[in-house]
Amino acid sequence: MSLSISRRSFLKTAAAASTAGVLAACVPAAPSADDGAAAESITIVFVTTESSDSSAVLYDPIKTEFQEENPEIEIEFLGVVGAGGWGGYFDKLSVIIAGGETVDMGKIPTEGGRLAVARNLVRPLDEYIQATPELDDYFNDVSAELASVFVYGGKTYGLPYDYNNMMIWFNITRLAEEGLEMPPEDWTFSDFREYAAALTRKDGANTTHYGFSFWTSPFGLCPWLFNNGLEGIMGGDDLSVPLQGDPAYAEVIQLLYDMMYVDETVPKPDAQNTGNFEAGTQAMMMAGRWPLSGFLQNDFRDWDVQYWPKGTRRVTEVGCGSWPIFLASKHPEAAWKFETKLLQRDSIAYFVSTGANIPSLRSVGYSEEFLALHDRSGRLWYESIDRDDIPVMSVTSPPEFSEMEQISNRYLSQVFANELGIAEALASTEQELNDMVARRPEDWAAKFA
Amino acid sequence: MGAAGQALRRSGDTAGGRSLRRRDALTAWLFILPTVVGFLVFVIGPIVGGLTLGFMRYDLLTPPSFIGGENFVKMIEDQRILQIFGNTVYYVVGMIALDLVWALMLAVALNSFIPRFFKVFFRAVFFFPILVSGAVISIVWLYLFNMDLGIINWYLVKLGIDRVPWLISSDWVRNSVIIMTVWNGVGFNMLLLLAGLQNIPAELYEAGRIDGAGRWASFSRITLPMLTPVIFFILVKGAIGVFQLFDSPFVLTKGGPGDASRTVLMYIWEKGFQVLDFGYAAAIGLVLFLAILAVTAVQFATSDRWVFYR
Repeated sequence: MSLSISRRSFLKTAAAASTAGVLAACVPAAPSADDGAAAESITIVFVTTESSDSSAVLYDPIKTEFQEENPEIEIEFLGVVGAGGWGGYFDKLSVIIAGGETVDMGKIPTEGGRLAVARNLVRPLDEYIQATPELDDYFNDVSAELASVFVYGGKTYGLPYDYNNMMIWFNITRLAEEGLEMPPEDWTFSDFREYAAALTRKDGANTTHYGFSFWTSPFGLCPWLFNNGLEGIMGGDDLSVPLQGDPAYAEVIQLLYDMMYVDETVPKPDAQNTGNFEAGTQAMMMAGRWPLSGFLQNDFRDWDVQYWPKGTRRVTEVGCGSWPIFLASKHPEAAWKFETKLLQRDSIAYFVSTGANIPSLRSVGYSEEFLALHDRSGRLWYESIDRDDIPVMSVTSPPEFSEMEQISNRYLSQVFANELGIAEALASTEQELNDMVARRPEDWAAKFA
Repeated sequence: MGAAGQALRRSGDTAGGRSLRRRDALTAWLFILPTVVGFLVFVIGPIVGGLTLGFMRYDLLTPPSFIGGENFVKMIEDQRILQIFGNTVYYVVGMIALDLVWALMLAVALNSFIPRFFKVFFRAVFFFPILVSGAVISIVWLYLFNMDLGIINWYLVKLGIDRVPWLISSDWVRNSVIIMTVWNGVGFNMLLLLAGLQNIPAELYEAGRIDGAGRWASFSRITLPMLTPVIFFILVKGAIGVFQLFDSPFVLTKGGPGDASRTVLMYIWEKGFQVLDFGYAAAIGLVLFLAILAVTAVQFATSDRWVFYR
């Protein structure tokens, strides 16, 4: 089991490379210095991924409680909503900040963490953490793997409040129809392929039921790569080494290609949606926990989840959410106060009740209220990051995440359209990623060393 | 009144007249001031800003630096840009042609033999998609066009026809974008052409009939020439709009497979907001602006040869 860490030991290990002098230069004031003087009203602008109105409703119980405790601090929500996944969100957030809008803190996922640090958008939190004994409960309860996700160059820029992993979801009605049981947790890529074949059904030339479908954005591609022995789409401490030249990379793409064009157990690209899974026209899907709230709304309960199948090893992929404090914030101490409130167990447990992602705290992840939302395998969500025998790896997130995603997808879309060979596509991807890395400003390397 | 008095009155009249004219001019300027300010801030400002940015290196988060024509040299060396401009020209030609023909057929049909109830009904039906956002419509068509699970291919297979790779083949994908976009917007041009048809005087057709003109001759010699001002408007407006196509291919195909359906505007967005290379994005935007300007100028320059104003 992955052990919890104390706040003190977390700071010792994660921030070992960070010196007090450097921290002092980055953090404008000691956290407590501003507290006593904060008699006048302060407004904290909090960036969320929901609309501003939805955020006001969603965060209302926590905000209300916080403002009773801190009447001088007002919280204002700025919703950044739009298409394009995390990449798109981060593009918009960068524009907002560059446009001069004052934002104090906001949601930043793993995918945007390095970009935020590389572009000097967020501030290290280590001094704040050190000065906040109330966070002991958090550090005693959070998985050590999660706590280190937003540590770059020995500095902590965010503390995860939730995360998502990737699991294989099964429509258990389809399993029963084909006389199959749930696979064991140590199933392999070959077992997976056999399951997909057994769960595919045809009616003449039309396939009526597909075994599986996939998507190839980084969060969908990485679990295949991780479980086949790779570091991800790019490797190295500063994610500067494209890995497309590794034969294990080509093996993964070949497997997916064969399922689409040889086995025909997977529909052609961009076909995955949870509606097909609910309807049973697709028996397995790949996803984190995010489809759950929709399934609960539809009272769809005929599903189960299993660990990702094993290639050459077993790994759990994670992507976390955190609320970093922006460097441009004029009230970092007040923002930190709100952050501390958000990281309390009760707050994190509250988000579970709204159907959000997997809570970062162990006690909430195994709690009755969390498990009650699942008919089967509810423990697997937290357990998947909580075992010594299954390493946890973060989705590949270089500072140029959006560009990397775009390059990778552009070539893979041609492979899965059957218009470009795998070797040629991977060589071109590697070349463009190398060009991308070559354009990095010189000071970036030091930020992640 | 003596001569001096008359001279004085003339002089006073002149001064008063000038003062009145000055007041009128001032009032006029005050009335148009909001428009002038808006034009300067929201049109001239961005044009000058874009033009300047085209000669800069700017990543949004650090100050811009002047790099001369480097962005334009990069554009010449960019191996993707030719295909992307080619796609855009394909969209301009394909969409305008299909839209015009389809809208004209619908307008002529609605203007002729269909009973009044159905005229109103079909006018509403064909206009309705315009009221829905392009992104939402694209999501619906995403499901319709899906190769293996889409309803269109399902029925094609039932009819014994092979599945069409609507969105995943480089040969098909641009046509799929054209079909969806034209379906989305054809109602507007249909209404314009319908209005044009209803403005053609009936005596022209009567005169044609007396001269022995049949249906085709009436259409080609009377209807089409009389519609040329509307057609000219549709062509100019259509070309400017399609050159800036973004939302439908963005949702439907993300520009893929590869760059097969990517438009110039999608590429500008990619370079600006994904790569944060705003200088290069602005340089491409400048070239796109010049392309639109050139096409529009050619359309206007040739219009006096085929557009007939009564």
